[in-house]
Amino acid sequence: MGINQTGYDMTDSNQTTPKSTQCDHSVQELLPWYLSGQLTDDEMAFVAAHVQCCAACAEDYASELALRAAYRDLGEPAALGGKAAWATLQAQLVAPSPRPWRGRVMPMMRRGAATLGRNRRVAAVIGAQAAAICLLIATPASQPNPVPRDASPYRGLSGAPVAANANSIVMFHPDAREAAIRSALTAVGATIVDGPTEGRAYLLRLPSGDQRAMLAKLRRQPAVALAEAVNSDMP
Amino acid sequence: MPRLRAQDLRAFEELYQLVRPRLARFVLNMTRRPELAEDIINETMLAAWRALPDFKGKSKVSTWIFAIAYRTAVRAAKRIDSAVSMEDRDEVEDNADGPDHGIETSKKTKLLNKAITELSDDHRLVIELTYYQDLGYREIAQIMNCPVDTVKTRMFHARRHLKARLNGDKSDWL
Repeated sequence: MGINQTGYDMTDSNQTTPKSTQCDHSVQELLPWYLSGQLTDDEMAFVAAHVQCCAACAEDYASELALRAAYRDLGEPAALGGKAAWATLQAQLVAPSPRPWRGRVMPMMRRGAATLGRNRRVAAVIGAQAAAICLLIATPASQPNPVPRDASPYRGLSGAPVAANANSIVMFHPDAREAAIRSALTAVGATIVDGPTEGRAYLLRLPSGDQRAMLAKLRRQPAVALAEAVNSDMP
Repeated sequence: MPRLRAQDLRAFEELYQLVRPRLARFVLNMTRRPELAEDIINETMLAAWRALPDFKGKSKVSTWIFAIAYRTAVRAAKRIDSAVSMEDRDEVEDNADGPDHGIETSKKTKLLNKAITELSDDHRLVIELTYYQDLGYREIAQIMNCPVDTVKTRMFHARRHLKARLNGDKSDWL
């Protein structure tokens, strides 16, 4: 049995028995990440030094390169949904959580407060918009002098379950003015019945009729970023 | 990152578009069930959105999302495995031509695909995260919620399996 300078038993040309456990484990295990450069500087230096003086590990390095290249050449898996996938997810992001409203109030308030505290400019814009929209809540959009229920940026929702009347959800662009929002709602005769949610969406009540067409019209309004149905029998 | 933590929808869409291709590949490789993958991706991103305000930034966002996807896919696989018999599962795997399903495959590709199919889910995932996603073993350990030595060992054995399977036709792929 002969041990060559690499530290490997080369008696059997088809078998290499590592003499050193360091060669067996440390270097061998690190080789895949040495290839992709995903090791610390010390680890990279350690593996590089070893591969240069160990023929067996150098050979393993070469086969590792080939295996990695072959794997990457396998191509992409079957394509999944494209733009439609984001639209579906977006609707879920802004839709009310399935958890009860009451249980969501405190976390929502805390997050809202934290967000507002971090960015005063954004806080001012969103707060002003929310306060303006609150003037429209539970009031037909066409009524000129609605009564505010709550002037805070995030609504307390411990009162009557007005959200039960909602049949759609809407998000407005952050820079949308109150007049543009009112105009958008008036265009379809919609009423805001609750919100904002933690995703800054508002629950909406569309009048009876072709609600699919109403939603489409609402989406075309400049102030509207998103409008979706929240009940299953709508689009 | 501050915009993401504040759940800015546009920032989140940018993140989604950036991470989705890698996430889709990751989930597909893990589950090998395209019909499940879209739901898992959706569930993952929804969970990420809800957890963003609490994200501490101790890892890269993509690593954090992959970890959520891993847990989501494991849960989904358990649900499916309890409903699908092993015969059905075998049929699914036999019919799947590997990650390049639908693409004309060469002999070496078929050999490699078959060898990959024979790996356990965890071994296959470590191969994918290392060879394709270019993640380090520490990140992989975070994603799979296991010790780094486990990742190294899984990778070691997965490579050994692939090389053993391919060894008979080594000249074709080396």
